[in-house]
Amino acid sequence: MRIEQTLAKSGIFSGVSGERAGGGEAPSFGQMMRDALERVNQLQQEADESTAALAFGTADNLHQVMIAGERAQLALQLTIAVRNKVVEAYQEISRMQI
Amino acid sequence: MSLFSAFDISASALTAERLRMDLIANNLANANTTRTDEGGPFKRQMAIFAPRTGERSVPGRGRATRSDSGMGVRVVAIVEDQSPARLVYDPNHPDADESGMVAMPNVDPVREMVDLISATRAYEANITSINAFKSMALKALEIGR
Repeated sequence: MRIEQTLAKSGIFSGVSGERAGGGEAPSFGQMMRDALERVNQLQQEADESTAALAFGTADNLHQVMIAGERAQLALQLTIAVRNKVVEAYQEISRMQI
Repeated sequence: MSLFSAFDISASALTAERLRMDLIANNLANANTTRTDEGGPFKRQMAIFAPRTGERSVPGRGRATRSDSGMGVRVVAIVEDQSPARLVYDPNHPDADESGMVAMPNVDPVREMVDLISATRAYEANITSINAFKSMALKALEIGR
């Protein structure tokens, strides 16, 4: 499917599905969404750990904590937007009268 | 470049400027330190910045765009300023030599303050760039709305 190749090239999921997407066979869309959600979850956990480290006083830099939080929030919003589009496309197709 | 590379680039700059600020604060704190462990007065310290090269850890990913824009800045070394110490005539000082001159650190408070302002402005500029990147990404979500 074209959409998988587009998403694979965009680099949103870099770091999670790097090896698979570069090869000959594009992964299924379900797999890509799973990878994306896993990455978002990972970013959220990193943000939580950074905030806890700041609260305990073991954080190196305040800006790293803030950037981790922003990264997690942005990843979540982008994933939600992609999901909305895909669901919309699916509904559009399921409404087709045969 | 990956989607979040702007964050990494600006984060490296923020860390580097924080380190520079720490060095400036140390210089100011030791502006009157006449004895150190190595002997002689405190020498002013400076940080040397160099661009960070893009070494991607995932091979085969984004080959065409690898390090198109560089990956930010890193501190290569922290060196001591080798300009000569200021000699002040004070024969009653415990660290005075035979001719009554005391070697004071080569720290000029005015210059340190200017460097501090420059580090602060660079920090703010990088934070502005992070905010701009985030608003660009959020605007991109409005394509086709």
